[in-house]
Amino acid sequence: MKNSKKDFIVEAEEILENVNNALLELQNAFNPDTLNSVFRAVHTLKGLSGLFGFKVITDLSHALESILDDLRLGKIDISDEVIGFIFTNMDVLKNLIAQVADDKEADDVSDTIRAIEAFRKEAGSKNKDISIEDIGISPSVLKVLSGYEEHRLKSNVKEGHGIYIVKAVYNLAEFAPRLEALNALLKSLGELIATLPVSEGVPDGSIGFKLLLGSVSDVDALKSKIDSADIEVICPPRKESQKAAQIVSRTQDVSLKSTTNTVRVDIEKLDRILDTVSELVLAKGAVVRIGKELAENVGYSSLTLDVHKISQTLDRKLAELQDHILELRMVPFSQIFTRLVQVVRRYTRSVGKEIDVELFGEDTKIDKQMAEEIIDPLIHLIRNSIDHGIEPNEKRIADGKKEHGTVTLKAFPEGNKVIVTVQDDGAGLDTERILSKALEKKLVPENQVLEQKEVFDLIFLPGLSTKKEVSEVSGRGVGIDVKSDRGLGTTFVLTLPITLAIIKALIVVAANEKFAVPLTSISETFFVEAAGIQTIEGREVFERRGEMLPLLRVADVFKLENAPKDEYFAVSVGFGTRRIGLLVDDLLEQSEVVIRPLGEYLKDVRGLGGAAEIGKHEIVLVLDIESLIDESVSSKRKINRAALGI
Amino acid sequence: MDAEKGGAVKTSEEKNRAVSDNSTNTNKNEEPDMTAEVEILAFKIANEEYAVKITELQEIIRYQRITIVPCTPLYVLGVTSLRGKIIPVIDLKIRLGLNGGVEAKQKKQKILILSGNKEPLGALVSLILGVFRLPASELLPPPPTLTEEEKNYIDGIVKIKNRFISILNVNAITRMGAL
Repeated sequence: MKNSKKDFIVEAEEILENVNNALLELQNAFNPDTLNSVFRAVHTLKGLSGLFGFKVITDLSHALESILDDLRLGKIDISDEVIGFIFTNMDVLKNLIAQVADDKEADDVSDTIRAIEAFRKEAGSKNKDISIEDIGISPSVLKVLSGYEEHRLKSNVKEGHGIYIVKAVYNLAEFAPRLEALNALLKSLGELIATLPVSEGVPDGSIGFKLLLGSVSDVDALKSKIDSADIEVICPPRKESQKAAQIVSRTQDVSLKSTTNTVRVDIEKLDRILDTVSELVLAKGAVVRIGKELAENVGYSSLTLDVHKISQTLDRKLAELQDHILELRMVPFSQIFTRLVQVVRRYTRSVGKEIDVELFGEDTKIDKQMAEEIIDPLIHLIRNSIDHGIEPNEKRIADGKKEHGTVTLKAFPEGNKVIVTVQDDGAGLDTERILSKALEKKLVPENQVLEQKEVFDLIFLPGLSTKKEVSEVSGRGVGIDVKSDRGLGTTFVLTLPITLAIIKALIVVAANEKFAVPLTSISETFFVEAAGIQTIEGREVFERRGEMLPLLRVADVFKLENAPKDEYFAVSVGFGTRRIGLLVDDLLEQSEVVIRPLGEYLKDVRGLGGAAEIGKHEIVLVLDIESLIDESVSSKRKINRAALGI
Repeated sequence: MDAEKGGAVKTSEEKNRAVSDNSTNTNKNEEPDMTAEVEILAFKIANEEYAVKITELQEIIRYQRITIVPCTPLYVLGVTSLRGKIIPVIDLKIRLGLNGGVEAKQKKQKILILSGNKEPLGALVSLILGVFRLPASELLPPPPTLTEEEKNYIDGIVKIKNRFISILNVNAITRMGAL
């Protein structure tokens, strides 16, 4: 079975299972959130099958989606009959998916689809409606309700719930968390139908909201729970008897056997296994040490040789075990691409540009956690290309380019890294615009002459757009570089470690403290004599193969006292042209480490990406290379400013 | 690993009891229940005696290697590893601004793992005195001579064997950046 198809089947089966569970829930008790989740799930299945080209599944899920949408919007009343009907069709879907799995010809479902349409029409015509104008909400509020919100309002009224408008005014600076808290509170009291911002009667610097609430509680009960909020009663709740839950038995004519042998595992469970393995690795270290001590004390007796042998076996098997677990965490890039393409389609439609997306390297594997962390920065880069890179069609034609712009995504492995490029064939980076924006935000001193490459690097500075998203994943050995040609396009190059779970790191010493540098960030290490260090504009540099490499003393970054020495080691880190040399006292060893977060209390310490345990209770801090490079750039700025007397 | 397990004082059972005590306590928040009990762990820092409520204590471990984290307040000793998790460790002596007293040998010191206000956090103490149970009514307010900031750190005072012991407010102490 082809890999991508397997992915589809696993995903589709999970969706169907969720839908079936949700439908069962709906049969017992109606809940709009559950209905929405069914609708969304079927919608996802439609998109997914479309992407993989299973047209029959797409068509059937489309028909089901329409009927669910009608239910959601109240065009059809929810009843056991409707749910039963959907159940039957879910079974048809399940069959279709099983046929895909078995590589069989898909059934013709056009009859089923026609039946769904007919059912929809009939059920829709039966539905009686109440007029929302009669509820007594002011027209200005009604006007802004979406179709779905209107429907929820109606059904709340129909079920005899009380309708209330809760007014809340917050200070602009802190409204988000407070509104969220109020939302959560209201949801616990009933159904939050809509949240509408209001402007009238709100003082400057504040923001007001009207929250439309449907609840079975009466107004006094609400007032006791919601303090200091202004509650307007639109209509009080009606007493009503609880609808008895009914479960209709259904005939199961489809095999219950799943078509795949896949198990989905929470990644945390894998992490726990990895933790145990890394403890075993430490224990193995002890066995090796015992072997050595034995050899020294009693010579190479048969006991010594036994210990030696067993420690080698342990070593091999542990490495295997580690590899297997890491392998389990790997997902193909197609998973990321699928999601990216959906976003791009939606986004291009909303900005009105037509853009072709080309994908390469779907089979490249990457750690699941890394994949999750990289997806937002990738979306950001792609949107950046669509917004600023690719020109409007007219301009493209005038420039003699093909009418539609193209964004090309590539992912390929390189050693223990994965390189991802986001390339567009647009106008290239606008150096003047970047420079003027940087000047405006005072990120560079005026009159500063920058080389083109230096201007490009400005986009990675905090304050200019690209940085924020990308910096969230830096410090884990993720690097970014940009290449751009005026008129030909821009390419962003992301260098990712294959896994975040276990990385190779170089342990270095600065001011008697050990630090770990992710190997993926290192291009070389070399020896530096103190006499060979020059300063340019107050910044230390070193000539390396005819180029100036800016230097950064690790001890200085962390304000550690370090006596001057005659010789240092330099670790050249960074990617492309964003490269600096970290000056350290000593290089210790290369080690496989598990990077752990420093935790809530210490997460803001700059220059550190986490910590790793390298021996029993011995922790080394892991350097966050990207932020150190930033540090080096910004310290250069500071010095420039000083020189200019700013 | 073994040393750690052996060294750990299991408090979960006592903690459960304390928690249930506590929950009955909160119901009658307004008028202190004479039968409610507070369980505390008393210890020594510098020359003074302090305590934390057992409910705020996760475990006690022996002194183990602490890695310095640069650019942090003075009272942050660094980080240590607790079964693979990175835990910051603070020096209660510096945190509370105490000085003097004969420092216990490093090996004798203990690290209290406190629940903290965000995540677990270690606090280095010189000597553990023991666990005491006492009625909530014996909790005295802190002496009025303390500064506002000092009062922040202290939940109350108890008298045990004719000695006054301050009960620390773990939440206030673990709020980093207060100094």
